[in-house]
Amino acid sequence: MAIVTAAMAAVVFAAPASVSAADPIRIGLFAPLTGSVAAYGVRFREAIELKVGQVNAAGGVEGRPIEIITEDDRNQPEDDATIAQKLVGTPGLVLAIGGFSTTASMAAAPIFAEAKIPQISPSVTHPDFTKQSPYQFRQNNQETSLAQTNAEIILDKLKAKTVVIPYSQDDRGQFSSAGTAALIEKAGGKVLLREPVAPNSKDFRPLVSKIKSLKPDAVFLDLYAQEAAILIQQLHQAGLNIPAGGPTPLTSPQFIELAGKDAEGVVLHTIFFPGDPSNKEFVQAYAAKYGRQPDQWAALAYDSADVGIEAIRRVVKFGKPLTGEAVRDELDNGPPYKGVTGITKYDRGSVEKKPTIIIIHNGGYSVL
Amino acid sequence: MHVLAEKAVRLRIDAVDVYYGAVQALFGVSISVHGGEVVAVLGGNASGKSTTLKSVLGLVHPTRGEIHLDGQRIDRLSTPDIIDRGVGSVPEGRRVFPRMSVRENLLLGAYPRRHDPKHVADDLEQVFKVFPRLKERSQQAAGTLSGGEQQMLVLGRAWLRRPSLLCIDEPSMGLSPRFVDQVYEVLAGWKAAGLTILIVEQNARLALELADRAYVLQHGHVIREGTAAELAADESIQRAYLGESEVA
Amino acid sequence: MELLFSQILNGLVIGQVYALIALGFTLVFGVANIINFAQGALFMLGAFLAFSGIAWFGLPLVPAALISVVLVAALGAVLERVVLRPLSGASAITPLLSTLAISMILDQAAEMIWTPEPQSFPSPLAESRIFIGDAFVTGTDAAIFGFGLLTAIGLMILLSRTWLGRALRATSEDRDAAAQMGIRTDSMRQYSFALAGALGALSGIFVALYFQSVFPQMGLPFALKGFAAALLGGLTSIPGAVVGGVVLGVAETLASGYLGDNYRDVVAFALLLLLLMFRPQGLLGDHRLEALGGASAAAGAAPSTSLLASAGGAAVRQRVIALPAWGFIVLGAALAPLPFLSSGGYLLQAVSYGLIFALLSASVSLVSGSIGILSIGHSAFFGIGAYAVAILARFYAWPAEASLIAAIVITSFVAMLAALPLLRLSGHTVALGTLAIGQIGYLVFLNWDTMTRGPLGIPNVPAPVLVLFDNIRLVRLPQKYWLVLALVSLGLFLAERFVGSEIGRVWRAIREDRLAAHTAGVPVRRYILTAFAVSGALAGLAGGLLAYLQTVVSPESFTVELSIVTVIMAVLGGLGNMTGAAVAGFALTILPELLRGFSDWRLIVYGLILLVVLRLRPQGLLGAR
Repeated sequence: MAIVTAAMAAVVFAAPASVSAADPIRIGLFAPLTGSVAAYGVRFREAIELKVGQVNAAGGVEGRPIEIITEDDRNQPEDDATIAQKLVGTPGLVLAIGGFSTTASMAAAPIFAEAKIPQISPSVTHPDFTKQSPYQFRQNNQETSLAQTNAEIILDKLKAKTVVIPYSQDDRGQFSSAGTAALIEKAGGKVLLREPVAPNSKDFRPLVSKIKSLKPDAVFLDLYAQEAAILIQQLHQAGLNIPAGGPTPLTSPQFIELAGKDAEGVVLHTIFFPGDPSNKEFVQAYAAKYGRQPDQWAALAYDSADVGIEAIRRVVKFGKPLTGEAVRDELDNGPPYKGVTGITKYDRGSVEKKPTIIIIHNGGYSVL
Repeated sequence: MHVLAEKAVRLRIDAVDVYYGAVQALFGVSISVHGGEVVAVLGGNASGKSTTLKSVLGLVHPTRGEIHLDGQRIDRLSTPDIIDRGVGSVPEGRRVFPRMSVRENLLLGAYPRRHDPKHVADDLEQVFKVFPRLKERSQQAAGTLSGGEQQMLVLGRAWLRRPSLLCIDEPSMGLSPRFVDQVYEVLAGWKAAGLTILIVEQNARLALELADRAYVLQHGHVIREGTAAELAADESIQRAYLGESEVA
Repeated sequence: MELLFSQILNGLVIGQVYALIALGFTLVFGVANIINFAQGALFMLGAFLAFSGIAWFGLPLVPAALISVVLVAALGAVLERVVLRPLSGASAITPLLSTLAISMILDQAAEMIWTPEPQSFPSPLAESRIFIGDAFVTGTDAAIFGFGLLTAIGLMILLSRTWLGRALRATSEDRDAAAQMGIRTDSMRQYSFALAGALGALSGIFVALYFQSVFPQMGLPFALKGFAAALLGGLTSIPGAVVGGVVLGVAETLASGYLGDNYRDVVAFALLLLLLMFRPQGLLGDHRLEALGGASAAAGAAPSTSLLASAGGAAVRQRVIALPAWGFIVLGAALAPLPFLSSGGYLLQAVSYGLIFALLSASVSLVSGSIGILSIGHSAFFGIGAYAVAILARFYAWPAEASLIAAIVITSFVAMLAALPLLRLSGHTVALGTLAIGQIGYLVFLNWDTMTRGPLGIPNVPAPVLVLFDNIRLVRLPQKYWLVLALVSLGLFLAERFVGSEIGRVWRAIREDRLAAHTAGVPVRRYILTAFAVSGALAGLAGGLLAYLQTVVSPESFTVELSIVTVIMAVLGGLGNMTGAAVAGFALTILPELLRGFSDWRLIVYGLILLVVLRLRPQGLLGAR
């Protein structure tokens, strides 16, 4: 039985043979497209399909079209490892974009490193990711620099001496809140409470009561859009109208949609500001295709695809054999690239982009 | 029995085979019950006597043969459909609804008559008159009653059905002799009132005292049938089923 | 003091929501003797249908909610008729798994219809609020509380004062006897599913109002709390469900308020386990009925303590197909040349995962099948093995032999400890107890930062080093594959030896009739603990191999979803049948890979396949032992 299954599987899993010059250049995308964090993965897919569509409409890369191989990893590390193996075995695939979380991305990393295929994660902020091998690249700022901006918002914009920081209990939230809290304490502020919010936890009333009893100057919502929206609504219900700030995930328009008028006045920072005139073209194209504003995740994925495709283009243009290794070298050594999330210039796989501090105002954003 | 010929056949079990999975439990069993008659089905453990009753109640379905009630075929019907045709049941092992009150248990007997609340209420009072113990404990959970009290409860419950045919499965099982006598006293009263009864019983002596006619089952076959008096006088029956050890 | 007061108030509100969900479970469990895992999906659908009524058709809240309640009630009835009734002759586990498959399909369908993202569900009552000192109650809270209480009271009146209610309860207590009263028990089951659907929809709408948002993944977390609340209350008691919900709500709110939000669920599930240990019949379960065999006997279940018992008592056993123990070694040897046959790593990676899950599935099948304690908590044991290897190999540089043995020993020990609170339980209760264990395991992985690094997980688990083989480092995938293949074959060989031995026979005797085994002088507890020890060892080994293969170990690999998937594997293979478990574990791990072409439809197809297989082979593909 097992042998039969294995034999059947062997047929399904077998990779098609050789590649020729007119064949498409393949890019892998793996992200959660189902499950509780599917919203982010879907943003990735939309933005990358938009970018690749644009490139192909303009004649592809030196006449060769780009093809995206999309896989759903449900944000489960065991899916990531298998998908990574599938992608590295796909002929003509020279670049992979993904995954969403640190653990998902890290589970795939050693496989891409071994196969010499560069991997760009649009979202991962954990410093360890790009330390995995020379084949890992990121598009988002590292958490250490994001924490700087978080602290700046709390101290300078919210003018708070005491703050509470509820954070999402995942790799991003844990690292971000710890870094932010350390910086606040260092600058003489006081973090009255730094509390993890468990995955799937949605009832914040106990937390709200606790925050209320601590009487902080401000609250920093180191959470994702839905949790932050519920928390800020419940804080206001409790009659606690203190200044609030948030990290980059809250720049998702979803936060404003869900929190409604309770989102007004929340101070955020982002490396993608849709109101920036230089981003107009992307914002319009995205809105036209998907009927909604792009958020930072879409923008990061868009830039990931663009940076990657430009690297591929250079490899082809310089007449080098198109391999993952060549693409990696071009990513690493390429010229600074100006995208919708700022300037990408890789330094050991990482970027340092300039954040913009914004405030939610009249259901939109304005620069603060 | 001189009246037999005039009374119509109410229930006719005709050459019925019943299987449990691959195991055959009944082999061409035929039994008939006339109006106003008490018929006993006797036999030892695993003789098929309970299965016979279950097939009447639609709890098992025969693979061959037919069962007719008042001329209509019922062997393909579901249990509730059969109950709806006027059949009442006193199940084996009493089967009270343990967490429901005594009163609720009794009321459930009248479930097919639920659209006639006035008469049900009257009949309930009647049952309480016959079984004053049940009235005392009417709000108590049925599971907390003693075995004897539970047997009274299921008898009362079956009576509230106001059945035209009552099927009774081993009413004496697990009861102390005092209660067994009480049960048969009640049944004798019902017989006198003209109720048609099909009773399955291991305690042949008691059953034969009550019944008009009886059948003896062994390994799923009917091996004897006749009037209660004939069977009670039969030595082989006496030896096999009337030993005192059976009472315990 | 004021803080305590407001926290208790907070707990009462969320507790009322749990109570409503618990009522749905209680009703269905009581009447149909089925644990309805689809209750969470119906709950979610209720919220989304009301949302659609408002957002798409511009209806006001109340009519939208009413329509949603009616639709979901109808869906509940349809599901009973179409999916569950045809299974009524099968063992209790089959309908339970069918409800799981249904919820999988509904959850995924919701993601496709409404997108996976949360959407705003404004509450017209959120604005109005009353302050009592620092504590406050919003209009939504009042509505939840009022409606919740009304619903519970209405339900109690329905059940105790009406013919329908009496018939429902009679069916729940003794199906056959109820039929002999003329009650159409099939219709009663259907009514109970419809009522449960209505209650689920209602609570879904309340939750949507409370959080002012709806999201397709809202089903499972609330369903788990609903189970816990129902179980706390005694599983079949209506007032018990309400009390259970409120107790759970208050307890976890206090935990969240005074220990931290991350302790909320830990406290909730630990409380449940503690209660099960000391009061298995639940808070309001009837102790007097313990003499009759507890709630399950009162509910008319078979005298067996196991969910595997057939409800009809006369189901025909399927022919059992099983390999002898040495067959696993032969099979392992046969699969050894695979790396030479395939060029890419994809196949090897997928097959390696398939092998690991084959072993895990056998581990689940061993306790669930042989001893009859359905385990929906094996993700915890799997995780312990994985973390043990990850920690020992990465931070202490232990060689593979030592770290894998440590993983086996530690997991085996923990599994025995975890079995202690389960010893007095049986039937459905024990299954829900294991569910709590699985949840606690996940929460410990997530919260024990100093040991597991919490949500960061442990990346960069080094390649296994075999100290007995000249310190060889198994860096490449084929090498890891061989390690996995060898140890999985060995593990399955040993599992089969156990199941086929005298011990295995005693296990099955305990499964068939624990009381009889006990009376016959079998030390039942010791045998149950042994089963958990062996099963834990297998799960620990599987987890350890996962750590080496995957190189990243993090909490999200060990959620309740994993436990559910492994139970499905074990049941589909045929419970207690190690060959079946291994084949199903392997096949169901590979299947989603084969279904990748279906993209969004993948999980729906998976769910449908499950339903079909359960219908055609209720005893599993290779037959239960």
